[in-house]
Amino acid sequence: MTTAGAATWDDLLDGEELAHVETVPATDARIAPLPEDLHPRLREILPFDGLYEHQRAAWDAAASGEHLILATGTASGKSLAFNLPVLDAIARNPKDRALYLYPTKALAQDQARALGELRAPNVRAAIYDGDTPGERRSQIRRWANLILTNPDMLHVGVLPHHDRWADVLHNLRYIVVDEAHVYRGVFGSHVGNVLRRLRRLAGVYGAEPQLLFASATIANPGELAAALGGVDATVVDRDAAPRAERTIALWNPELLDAELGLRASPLGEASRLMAALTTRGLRTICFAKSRKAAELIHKFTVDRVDSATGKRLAPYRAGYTPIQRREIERRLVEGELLGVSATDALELGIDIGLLDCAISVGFPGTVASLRQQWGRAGRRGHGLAVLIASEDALDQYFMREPAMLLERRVEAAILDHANPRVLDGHVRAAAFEAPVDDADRATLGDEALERAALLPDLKHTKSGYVWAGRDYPAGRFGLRSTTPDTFTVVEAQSGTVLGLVERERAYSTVHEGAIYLHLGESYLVRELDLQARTAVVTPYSGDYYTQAKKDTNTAIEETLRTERRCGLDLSFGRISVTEQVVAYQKKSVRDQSTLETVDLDLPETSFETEAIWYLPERAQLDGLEKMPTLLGTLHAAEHSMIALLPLWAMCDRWDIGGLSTNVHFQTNRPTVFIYDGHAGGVGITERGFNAFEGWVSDTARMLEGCPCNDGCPSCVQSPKCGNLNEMLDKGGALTLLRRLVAASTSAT
Amino acid sequence: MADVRELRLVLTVQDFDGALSFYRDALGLDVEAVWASEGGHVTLLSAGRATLELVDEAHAAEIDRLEVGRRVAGPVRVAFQVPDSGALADTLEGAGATRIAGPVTTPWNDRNVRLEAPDGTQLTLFTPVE
Repeated sequence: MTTAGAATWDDLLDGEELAHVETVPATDARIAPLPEDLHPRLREILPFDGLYEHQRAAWDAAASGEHLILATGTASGKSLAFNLPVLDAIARNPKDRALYLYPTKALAQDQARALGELRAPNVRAAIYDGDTPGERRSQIRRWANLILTNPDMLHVGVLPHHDRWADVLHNLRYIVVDEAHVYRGVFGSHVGNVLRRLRRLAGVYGAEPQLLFASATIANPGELAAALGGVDATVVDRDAAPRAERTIALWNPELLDAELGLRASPLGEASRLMAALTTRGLRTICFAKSRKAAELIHKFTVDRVDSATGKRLAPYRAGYTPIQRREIERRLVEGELLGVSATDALELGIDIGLLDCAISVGFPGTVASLRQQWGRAGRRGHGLAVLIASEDALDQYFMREPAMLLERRVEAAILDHANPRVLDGHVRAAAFEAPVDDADRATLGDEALERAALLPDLKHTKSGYVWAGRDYPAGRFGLRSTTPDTFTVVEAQSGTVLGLVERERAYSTVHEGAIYLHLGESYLVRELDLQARTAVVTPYSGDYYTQAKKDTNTAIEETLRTERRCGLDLSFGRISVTEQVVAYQKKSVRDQSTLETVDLDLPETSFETEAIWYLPERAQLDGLEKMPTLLGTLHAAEHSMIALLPLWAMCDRWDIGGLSTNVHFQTNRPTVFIYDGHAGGVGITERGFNAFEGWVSDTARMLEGCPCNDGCPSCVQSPKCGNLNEMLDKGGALTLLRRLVAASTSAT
Repeated sequence: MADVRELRLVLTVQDFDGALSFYRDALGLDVEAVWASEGGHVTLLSAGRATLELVDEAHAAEIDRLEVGRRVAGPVRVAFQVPDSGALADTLEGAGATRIAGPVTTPWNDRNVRLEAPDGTQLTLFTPVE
């Protein structure tokens, strides 16, 4: 180690807690010359005379008319890579138009600032969103050639009124989709349809825009572009930006009780590390999963440092006004502040540039998010990036198998635009926008035409399917859920709408008495009004969380694929799930102990979704066939597989459900179901089907490595189990999964 | 109702980048649009609702007396209603503004601070006191 930075923290990276440490050497930039054909005025305003190779590759692909997806690291200059072709086009022909899509207003704002600072010739950039006053809107449509908006606005505010947008659509040269990996799951499935509708209408007005996507590094960029835009895109993923030397540490809090899986508090460990780093003058950001955690880390850190250092620490959270946020960002950038504890909900919108150290407390759910957080560390010099593990199964798995986190790239952004629950609304909206006929298969997809024939409110005419309803169909649904049957979560004091919850999830997440977590803030549900479909909540700062107990049944509706995999019959298809939430438990945040069980009286719900199910063979259950071992085995296998699925398909374990039964009424055999928690399904379980062998083997390794004997929160217990984690047999699950792995490797 | 739909205040500034970092970053105004003319640049920032306040010389003198204690403002003064005028004034001082006076509480119960922005414009930050 030769750099001063390494010496500064080397002695902290020591002890039992350190599960893994490695230093990734610095890499030099790989530079390519500026394109010969770049507009001379753009050449003048660029502060350098070369591009990173991936930026040049993006230019070349765009210049030859290809669609493109960039999937390179944080701070690798992705914005410049997609801006250059757009700005060049506009420099040559100011009538050319570009649409930029951002998932949040804050990100659109950041890009507007960056574009303003580039001072590119002929550019007239404007933000067009829900806040844009009516009279500005027509001006922007006429005048702006670079319009920054969001998918929701495109869906209800642009496409249904396309006649007003005729000039934009006719001249639409580029569609830029930044932060594309955010468009996954339900939201992504909707955005996939919105982009298809946009491409179709552009075609109606005679344009064929190129799509430029930018994404975090994921396993499937080409697939994501195809799923989102319905296009073949050139993948540019060889990151040529320079990287400073970075030390990566995986930190596992001390195991206090192996049987309970109880570990020292990650918040305490984070504050200890943060105190040591900031005392040494190292600028550090710490990401925690909730506001409460971020505030506790701040408080504990202040307690550990001298008062001068303590004054240079601050929490950073969603409730701040933009001005307060900018102030904290400025103080951090200028070095007045040394340490900031933030909720990880803010990782996308935080503008702090370069720091020395980044600490993530708890795996943030996706490798892409973790890399985004770690990307804050060491961009100026040698940086330190730390993950402090929670008790969660996936966190603990990474602590024992660092290569699974640091080397493999299996995490895929998954969506399914053809989910009928999502698609139908867009088919209606498309028919409203212009008659849908066979020629639209190229943009809207075959499934859209199939659905069009089945929807009663569409009329088949000579020019295609047209909307026969009275209202305007895009106005009926939003992009954030699969159903208009949603409950609104309202904060009682301010009346603020916090979010929407689909009915099938409302009963288990916002029942009366539930603790509801939103953007890192906790709320107590005061009332769930089934008629008004409203959950009234108030801020909550107590120390228990809630877990719903529910009865679940599954019925196979249609088997779409069955294959012999891992020595058993594995199926993928559509099932219906019937659930009834019957009670909930209050559990202590400190030690997970049950404080109280409260009965609930709620109606049954049912929905159709996608699932995989598998039927272990008799031999694979040899020695496990007695009850309750059999059920405990299947149930534990189901939980642990659900815990690891987010490693393969970017999703939250809360998006996935499961059911295990010693005998299912349709298969007549012991059966494990793992299903998509969103009605209709968004492709998550199909990814599991396709990656079944790897998924099973990861799960077996996870169980093998967990130090408990009988199962703990770090392996087979689930924070969302409808049976409250009763009947779990870790040993049985491990035996079963090992037999599956053995069958998969011996299979011919 | 008049046909006027928007009051837009146009400031011609010598130091464009400095003004951007002052009004956009330090004061925290969102960008609505950016564009360029031949060699020139424009950034349109949103600053809440715009109103045009007409005062006579005597009232202007009274405001100056209340906020500052002497006559300081020219014919145009730009006032921003913000959540916390005192705290924001500190931020803006850090960003190059010169504090002329304040914060003071006015008889109509606003908390006012008078500043001169780096481009020379005279600013009042005001916060209604509850």
